[in-house]
Amino acid sequence: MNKSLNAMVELKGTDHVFECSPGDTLLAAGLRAGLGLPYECNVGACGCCKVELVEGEVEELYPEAPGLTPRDRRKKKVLACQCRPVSGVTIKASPQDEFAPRIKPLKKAMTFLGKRSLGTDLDEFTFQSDSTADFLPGQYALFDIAGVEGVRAYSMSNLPNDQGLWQFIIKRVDGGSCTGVLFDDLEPGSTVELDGPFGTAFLKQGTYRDVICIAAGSGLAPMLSVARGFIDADDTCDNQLHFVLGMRHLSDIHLDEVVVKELDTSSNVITEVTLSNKEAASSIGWQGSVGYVQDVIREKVAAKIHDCEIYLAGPAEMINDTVRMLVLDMKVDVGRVHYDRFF
Amino acid sequence: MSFIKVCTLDDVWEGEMESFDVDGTSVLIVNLGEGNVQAVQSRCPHQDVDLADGEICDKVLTCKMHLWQFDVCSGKGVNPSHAKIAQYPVRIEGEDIYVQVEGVEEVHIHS
Repeated sequence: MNKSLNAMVELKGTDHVFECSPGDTLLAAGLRAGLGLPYECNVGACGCCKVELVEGEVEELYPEAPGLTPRDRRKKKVLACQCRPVSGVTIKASPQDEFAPRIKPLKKAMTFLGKRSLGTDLDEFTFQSDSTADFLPGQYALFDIAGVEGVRAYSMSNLPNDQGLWQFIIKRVDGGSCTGVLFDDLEPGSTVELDGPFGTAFLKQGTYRDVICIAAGSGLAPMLSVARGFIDADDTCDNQLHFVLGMRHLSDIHLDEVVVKELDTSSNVITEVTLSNKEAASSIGWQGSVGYVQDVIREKVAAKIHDCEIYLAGPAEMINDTVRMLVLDMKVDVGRVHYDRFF
Repeated sequence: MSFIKVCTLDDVWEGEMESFDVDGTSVLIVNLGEGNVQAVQSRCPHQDVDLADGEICDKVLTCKMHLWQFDVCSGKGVNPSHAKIAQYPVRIEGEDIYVQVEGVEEVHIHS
């Protein structure tokens, strides 16, 4: 097949047909065409984007992807986020409104403006695109960095804006190839390719309910964006937002920058910071909560939990444990709980 | 309208469940014990995840992906309450489990 031509993708049993440009995955192409193909992590781990390959050939970017079970492979399932069509293909998939992008994801070149420290190995990176920055609070973008294999998902921490500014709060990963480049090699003025926005765990408008944001680790960025969006919105003045932030050590995040300067100044935001390393917390005379975010939820907001929209972000195990507590133990309606898991 | 043999009681022990292809339909056989065997759609109505990869406890089936829960005896959603899954008539003859898939439509969220 001529690699410079677009491949046609048909959805069996429907009228849906879309084009997939060379280098694009089935998922990205479908979403760009406005089709609500289900997905979550975009990197082959969660399995939410699996579709059945009925006809045609695809190139699998990640053949051992954990998102596919042996049973899936027997049934000719592939992960739409990890496949590129090699020929015209027919797939079986079930698009849903929930996943139809509100803002079309696009690849764009961005200029790196600079970074500032927000904690231990934690920096806020700012990029500039040459058009308005369009995304919903809580969404993420895929970074394609020269020299780094595969893409990485990072959530925007700021709000959509006319200046074209995209901000991300990224934690350096020990030995990580991408964060190594971002922290050590990226110079202001250099260009990076981003693709987005993606994600369905964005701030829902018009719910008129209180909000709980639960953030741990890398989850700080999207939860900050959601909280900022809540503060900025017109329809939230009668509601409260509880920002529950879990850390290991107090030095992980500069609370004065993130919490005190901004969130604490808003009259309808209540912040709860909890430190999980109890010995370290007591050795510095910490007077706040100790333990995990789940403990804070049980102790501080259990009484109103059924009347809230709940957003979670952070390590996948934290999200899974907390969602199990919310949904299975506390019987919160699954429709009120929003998260994107990155494994 | 015919019942098709799917498996035996030895294939799905008490307290267990497994999905089988029955004449092109993917069916989840759930053995609740004491002769109570239920058959429901194996595709979660939320996002096509195989419910056989989830959990069954008493009669509540939980999907592994987003924890949607269903009562396998009534087909009704436990969480979210508006959800439902298709149920297929079951017949047990000796050790053999038979299911009728004709005329039953799988449930899934439409766009």
